Amino acid sequence: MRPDDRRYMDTHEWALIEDDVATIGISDFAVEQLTDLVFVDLPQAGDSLSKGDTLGEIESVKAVSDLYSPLSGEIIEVNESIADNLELVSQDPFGEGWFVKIRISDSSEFDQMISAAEYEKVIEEAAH
Amino acid sequence: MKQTPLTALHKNSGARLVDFSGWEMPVLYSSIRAEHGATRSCAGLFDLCHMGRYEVVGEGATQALDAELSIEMGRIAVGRARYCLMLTESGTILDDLIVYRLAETRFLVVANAGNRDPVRERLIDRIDMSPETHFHDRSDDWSLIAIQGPESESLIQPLVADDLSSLRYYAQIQTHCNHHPALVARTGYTGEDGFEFYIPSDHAADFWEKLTRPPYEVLPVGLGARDTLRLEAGMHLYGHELDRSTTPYEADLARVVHLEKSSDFVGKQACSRNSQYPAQRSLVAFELEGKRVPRQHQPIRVDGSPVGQVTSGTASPTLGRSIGMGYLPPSVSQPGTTIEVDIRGHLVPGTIQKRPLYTRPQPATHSA
Repeated sequence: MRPDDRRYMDTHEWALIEDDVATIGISDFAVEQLTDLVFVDLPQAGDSLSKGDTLGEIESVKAVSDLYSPLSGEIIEVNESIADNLELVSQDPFGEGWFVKIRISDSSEFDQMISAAEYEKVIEEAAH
Repeated sequence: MKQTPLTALHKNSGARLVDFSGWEMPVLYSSIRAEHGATRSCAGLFDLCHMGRYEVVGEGATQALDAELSIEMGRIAVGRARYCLMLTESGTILDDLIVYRLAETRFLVVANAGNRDPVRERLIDRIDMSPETHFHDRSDDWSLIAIQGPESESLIQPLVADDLSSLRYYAQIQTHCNHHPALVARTGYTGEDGFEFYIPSDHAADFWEKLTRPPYEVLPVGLGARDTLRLEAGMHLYGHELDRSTTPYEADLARVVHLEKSSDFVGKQACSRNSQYPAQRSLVAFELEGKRVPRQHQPIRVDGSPVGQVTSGTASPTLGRSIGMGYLPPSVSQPGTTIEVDIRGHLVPGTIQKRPLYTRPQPATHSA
């Protein structure tokens, strides 16, 4: 079971809310599917994003994948430590391997995300 | 999708399988980097049963293959193998293959998975016209398993009846392996020393399982690392560096087009013409700055103009850099030339390098 203190997207991003700030990352399942991470390209603090916008891209030896923002708002912090150390993402995707913090502009978008239990079903289906 | 005699084993081991030219093949078992590293430092095990294996045998075999393939069969000694091309009438590349001369009038032709049918058709049509010559599709009967890496010989020797240390690079022997008849060749596609085993398919799963368990414990390697290994070693991959719009002269493969051979072969006339003029484009290898990874079809720019395209790219596990191959006009294809690759709108600077980018530290003493 993935952490149930946060909500998920069926595209494998997660968001953890504290007041009006959301921390965004990707799930262990996404990391496992990508494997052999090489490079992550993230936006800059100060950038504004709408839900569904490309948040960045993550490159593995085999392919490149887009990351999508599950929420709208302004980026207030980018996890610079992962740029040189993608091991943080592979080893601790729900903790040290977070990508960005967003000051969210619409909390109803968070409610539209799915719960850990629902995300579990998404993964089960993806695995079959 | 078609399966190999080993597909069930791959699935049980948790490999990730993908569609490769209509075959359900493992792209990776655990990690491309780990599998790549094992092959460079020790040994790796490869399921290559998706490739076509065709036996051509009989009095007219040499003549038939001389008419279909780019090299002169008379220059392949019995017990040796050669890399060669099957060309189109217009002198472009239909497939790149390995030909083994098993006996005076007996050959084994190994084709890429994606080109099994066209190669098969061409050979059958030719052999139909050749008296006393037969074609046998051995792709199902004989499984093809490779072990590649510096420790291959010492690891595999206990299972092979004959002495492998005397087997030269691009040579093969008919021997016994794991108590069954086998053709063992010192060939491969990784830039390392290694062997390819043609064994009866009934015994393929047993052989594979034996090698993955103690005391051998050879790491299975998927197509992902097979690609990064061959790319570092500067080897062509059909569908990337080679296709039906590419000539051997563009692909730096003139050495395997034997225009001087006396017999005619498909594509010879066109190649004779092409060989007299400078090629329109040249295959290059390059390294890029930064961590973005170049991918097939991305534009290569020189002096600000898009003048070429990436054919293959990866994050090189051995070199720790982004690398690739591609085609550029010959005037700007010299090593040292500064390039930019347009990676989804990001212009990433790099330099053309001598191909191959990786050469194994100590070439095998068995090299021809």
